[in-house]
Amino acid sequence: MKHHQVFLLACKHWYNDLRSSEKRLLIAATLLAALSMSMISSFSDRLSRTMEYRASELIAGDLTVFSTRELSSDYIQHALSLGLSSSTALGFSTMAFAHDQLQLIRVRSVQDNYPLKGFNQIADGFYADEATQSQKIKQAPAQGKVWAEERILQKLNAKLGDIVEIGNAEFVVDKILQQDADRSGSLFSPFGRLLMNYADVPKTGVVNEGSRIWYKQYYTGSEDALSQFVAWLKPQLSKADKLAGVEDSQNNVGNALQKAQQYLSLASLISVLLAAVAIALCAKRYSERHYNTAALLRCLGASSAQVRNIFIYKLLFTAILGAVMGALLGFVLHFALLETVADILPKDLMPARVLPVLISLVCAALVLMLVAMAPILNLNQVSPVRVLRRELAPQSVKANVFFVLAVVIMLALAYLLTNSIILSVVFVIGLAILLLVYGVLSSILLKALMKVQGFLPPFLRVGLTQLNRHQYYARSQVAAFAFIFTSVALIWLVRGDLFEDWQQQVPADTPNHFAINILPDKKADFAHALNAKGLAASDFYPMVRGRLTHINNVNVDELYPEDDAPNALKRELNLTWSAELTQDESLSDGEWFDDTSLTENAISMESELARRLNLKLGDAITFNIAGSEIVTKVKNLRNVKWENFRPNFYVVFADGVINDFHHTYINSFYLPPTQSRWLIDMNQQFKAVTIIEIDQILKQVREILTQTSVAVEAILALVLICAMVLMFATLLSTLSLRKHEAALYRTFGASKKMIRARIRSEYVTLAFVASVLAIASFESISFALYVFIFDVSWLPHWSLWVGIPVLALTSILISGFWANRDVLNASPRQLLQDIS
Amino acid sequence: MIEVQDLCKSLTLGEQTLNILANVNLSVAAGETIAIVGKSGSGKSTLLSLLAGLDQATSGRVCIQGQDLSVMSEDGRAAVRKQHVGFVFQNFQLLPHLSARDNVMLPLELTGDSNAKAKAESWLDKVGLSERLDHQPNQLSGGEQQRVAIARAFACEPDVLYADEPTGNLDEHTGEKIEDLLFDLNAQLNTTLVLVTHDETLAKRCQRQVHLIDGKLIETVTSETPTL
Repeated sequence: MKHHQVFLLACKHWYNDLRSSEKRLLIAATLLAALSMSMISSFSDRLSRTMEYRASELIAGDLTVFSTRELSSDYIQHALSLGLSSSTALGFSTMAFAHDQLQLIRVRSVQDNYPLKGFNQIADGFYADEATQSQKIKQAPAQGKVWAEERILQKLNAKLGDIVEIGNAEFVVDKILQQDADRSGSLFSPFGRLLMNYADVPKTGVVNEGSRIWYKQYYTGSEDALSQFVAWLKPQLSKADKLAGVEDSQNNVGNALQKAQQYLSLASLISVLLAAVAIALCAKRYSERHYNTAALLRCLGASSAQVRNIFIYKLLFTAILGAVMGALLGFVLHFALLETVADILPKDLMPARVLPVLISLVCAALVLMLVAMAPILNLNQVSPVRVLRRELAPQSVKANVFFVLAVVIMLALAYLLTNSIILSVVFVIGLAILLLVYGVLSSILLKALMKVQGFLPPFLRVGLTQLNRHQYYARSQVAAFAFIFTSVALIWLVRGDLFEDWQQQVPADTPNHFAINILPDKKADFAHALNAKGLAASDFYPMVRGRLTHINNVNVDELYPEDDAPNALKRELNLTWSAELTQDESLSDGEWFDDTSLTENAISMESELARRLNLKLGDAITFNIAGSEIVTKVKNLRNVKWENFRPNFYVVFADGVINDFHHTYINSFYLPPTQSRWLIDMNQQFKAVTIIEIDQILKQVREILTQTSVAVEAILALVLICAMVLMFATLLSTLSLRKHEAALYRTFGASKKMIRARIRSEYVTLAFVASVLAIASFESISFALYVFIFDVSWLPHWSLWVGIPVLALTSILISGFWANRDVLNASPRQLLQDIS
Repeated sequence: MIEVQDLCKSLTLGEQTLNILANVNLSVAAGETIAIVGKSGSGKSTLLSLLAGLDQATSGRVCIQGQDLSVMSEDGRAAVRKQHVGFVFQNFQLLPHLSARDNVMLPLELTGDSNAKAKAESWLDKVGLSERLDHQPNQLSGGEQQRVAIARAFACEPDVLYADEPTGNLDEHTGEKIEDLLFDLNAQLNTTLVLVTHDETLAKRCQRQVHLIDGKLIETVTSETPTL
């Protein structure tokens, strides 16, 4: 028999065998693995690319290079050769003059193609003016014209169309700049931002040797070209150059995006793992059901290689059919998923790609092939004597190589989805250990329960006896169910924590205005004005400008001789003092200020900055404040939530240390957008105070978080579907055993009612044992996560102690009775025929 | 056609050795029909499995057409089975997912016969199932299933046909019909038939009867005029 004849024979057998329940289950499990991967990866691929795109709108490109030194033009040349677009900006602080008024401003000069991504939001009047029309445009100011933030014009007593002098040049104020496309840079600078054309910079004459200037290059283009460019660029960058992509941006959108991506990836990985376990169970049963076929083929003269090839081909066809159908169906369904959440999705969603579908297809097929290979190779070991003596079962093949390959593919898949080697290894190894532990624990638990069965209710006793009769199946079922419920509970927990985290980040009354430059003598009046308006406001924080000059009496210029000093050392810092830790902060090291703090000039450092500066408790830090040197001592390190839209500080002094320096106050408050006219009164009443609107930023952050939340919900639902399929596969794995028993019971005169009661008691016991195991492992894992990784206090999740058993009981009973409907409804004769 | 010399089969169960067959010697001529008769547990099925090369003896030799099965690997024995041997089983051993036609085609396909379909249909016609070509085993009666099995066994026109209790799962009337069909086709093709049964009446239809008692071949009876 030639190889192509083996192939054709395998085709025919595979086609004729399509109706068998095991093959259908194998196809279904593979289909679901491919479907969930394809649907989730297509959905999250588009969503994350869109979110990245939207987030990239916040940095006006896909990638930026920032430096305080002139950037090499080679970068741009190389980018252009790769087909990328680029734009250059140059920034500096300078004075602006108009109507005899003088104001320090921050200038960003941009080329005509700025912004590469996103929009500049400009207006033709002041925001409080009802006739003001604002528009988002993808355009830079024309030469000779500037777009300035409203606060600059207010300070200069200027209006649109007026002339402002910047250096040696004069410019017409063309538009009000409401939102620069590049949102990077300090939001809390007391100086307004002005956008001008890059070609106008030379005539201002402000850029000279020694000027404090920054340079920035923006890049955009295809992902491939960008990654090629980054690979080329990284070794070229000098220490002063800072490369930033969307993921690097340490804003709240970046954080939420990162967390969401990790969640989506882990959830889709769990769904694949659930499907893989289902495949393993189905494959075992499929293999057992084909012992007779293998024996007959051997008896009729097929060689062992031919039998092996026939079954491997059949498996391959199953893998291809399931994977192709699943991947395509998943691709189609991702449109439906997008449609259901269309209202909150951006209209300019990134187009779908074939890559996630292909990857899903190949991965699902590989998962089936590798997981099912060992049981399938068992068929090769079936003795032909089995045609005469059916009780002969083959010796299990040593399939370590396939197990190792399956683990490797899982690791690759995990890496593909999480992009983190450590996370992938921890996840896959952890899971393998977990399954092993489940196997051992379920055995121990069943034995222990048998010992105390006298104390158990009668229906549990019957179920327990049933389970103990088939210990192998009972163990694997308990382990599989415990795995399902633990996974679902963990996904639920993480989802809840994510939502809570996000809600805390941007609650409904998140401050949308910052007020800075509040003089001490105006503080009470300002607070009174806010109170009178009934606005929710943060505390007033004193702010003193100071520069960090020495660490342990060594000048920071000596510590960081090049331009690679952290930004915090390059500029003046906003310093504050406080007697108490704010509610969003927590100490990561050391003690909060006490009575001795004032005398030792104690300070509290933000932990991330302390890490970057290699600071530890007790270090001496010198600040230059208004020309005076003040030596301080690091008393504690603080975790700060930068994304909470409240005033936050790198350095907090003990109360009394710097109180005598000139200081102003900062405060944030929420003003409903409909009441923005009130700000005009405030501006008139508190002329020195600058009020910064961050509504636009908040709106964008909220939109992105909402989209992410919906994706998370959808993926949770998918994980649940996969869990149900695994549950069904698990229950079906014992179906023939159950049919055999039911046939005998029915033949001996047992009623349907009695058989139903036996099945019910078995499933109730199964649900009970699996729930105990699931709760124990879920709480252990959550404890480890909370205490060792997130470093937060842990409390038992009482709601899940009820939720898991209820979910277990209902889902096992419903799917169990559905899976067993043949056992219950068929006549004893039919059952006997089936099992023969 | 078949030569058996000093054939032994024993199993080791813990420290005990169980002798299933002891020094069996047998010679079957081409075209001869022989019945192996014995009670349950006498070693009939074990002997059949060794004669057909399905299993390996502990010691001794089995030769089919001069080829010594005892020195062959399992794949070597499979090749001999494919070339020379057909089987009819008590429980029919039809593949449940295949139609009657596909079941009969199976051994033909394994030999790489390009005319498998036509031959299978022809053989099903010979056993009276030309109307049931596309029926699956669960749509056929027990007698019909055994007819399909007989068609499959003869489809490759084997030199030797091994039948293991071919009527054991059938009622008396159907059993008789199946016996007639089996012996008729055997006579037509002059196939060597080795039949394992505990049914003395069926055994008497063979030219020779071999009795197995506790793994030993103790008696050989030759029917002068086998009951056809």
